[in-house]
Amino acid sequence: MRIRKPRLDLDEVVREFRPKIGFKVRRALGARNPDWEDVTNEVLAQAVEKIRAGEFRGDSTIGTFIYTITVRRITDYIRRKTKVLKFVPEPDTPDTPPEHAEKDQELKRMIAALATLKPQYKEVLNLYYLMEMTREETARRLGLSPAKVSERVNYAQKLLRRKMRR
Amino acid sequence: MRSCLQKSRIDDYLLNRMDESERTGFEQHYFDCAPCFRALEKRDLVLRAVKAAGSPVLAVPFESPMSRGRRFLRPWMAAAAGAFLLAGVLLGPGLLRKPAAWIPPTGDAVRGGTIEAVAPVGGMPAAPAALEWRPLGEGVEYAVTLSGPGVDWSGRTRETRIALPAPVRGALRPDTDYRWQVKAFAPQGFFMGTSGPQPFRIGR
Repeated sequence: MRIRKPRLDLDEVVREFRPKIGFKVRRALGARNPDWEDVTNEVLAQAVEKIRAGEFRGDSTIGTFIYTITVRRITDYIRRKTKVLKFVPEPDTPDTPPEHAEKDQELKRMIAALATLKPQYKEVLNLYYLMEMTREETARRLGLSPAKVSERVNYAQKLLRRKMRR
Repeated sequence: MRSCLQKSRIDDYLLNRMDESERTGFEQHYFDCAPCFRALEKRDLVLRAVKAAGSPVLAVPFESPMSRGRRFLRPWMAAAAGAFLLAGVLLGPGLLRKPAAWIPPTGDAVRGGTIEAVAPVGGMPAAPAALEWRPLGEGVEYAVTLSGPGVDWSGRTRETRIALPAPVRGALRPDTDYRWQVKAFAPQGFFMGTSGPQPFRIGR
């Protein structure tokens, strides 16, 4: 019996997984690490190569397949970097590349939107996200129920998205 | 299309509150689930903005429980409270003012000129021999009264001084308050003016 290999649109794979791989790599290496984009590209190149070589047989989802490659590549990077750092000082963080300017702009607009929130939303974001209190701690501090805290955080997010669209 | 992950799980991931196996399971899920990844990105942007903005943007001035209550005031409630306060400000002093001391009616309306009293006024070392005032005009007749505990005397004169009779003078006691008053009348008999009550006290 012949096993039918799943047919994948590689452009679609790259389009869908680049942000996911980038997100995971940034979280693992730190958003200020200038190498995160190189590592992301290496993961994508390796994934495409393996798919072309027929190494993805459909035993797992394509997401799990690419996730496994990502985690291995991150581990390699950290191992290699640890060896290098024994002898070489860390280079300065370069200026923000132009392709990241849009992301930075988005962050700036979000910060501006935060400033316009009503105090009841600011105080819950301050305790829950900035001070990293748990939902229960935040609830106790504000005299609310934990469910109400979640509701306020979710509504604050909705308000922020709405303000950013204006 | 909605995220199938609870937002609280997304927060736990972003705030590093998951153990190794939970984190791996979560990450594998968002690699496969586009809506969850979009929800994760949105939440991550809020978190990064909060961290970047920090306390200067998010600090909320302390609010007392009373001022928190103000948020729940409806406009009509605020208007009613304002009207009530305004009425209080306008009427309050009148309602809260101490009642004026009762003064026995004298039947006199103070009108016309004022006669300036000369003596006795204030504290006196001994019982005064006479009462004295400034003139109010020519041909004026003055009616004088002296009152106090055990004393109620009156006299008339065209002078600006009147001597107290010996029995009246003898009735004045030390450390006791007395009042005297002079009223002026024109030759035709109509009222011209008064000095008003002049208190005095005899010391020991």
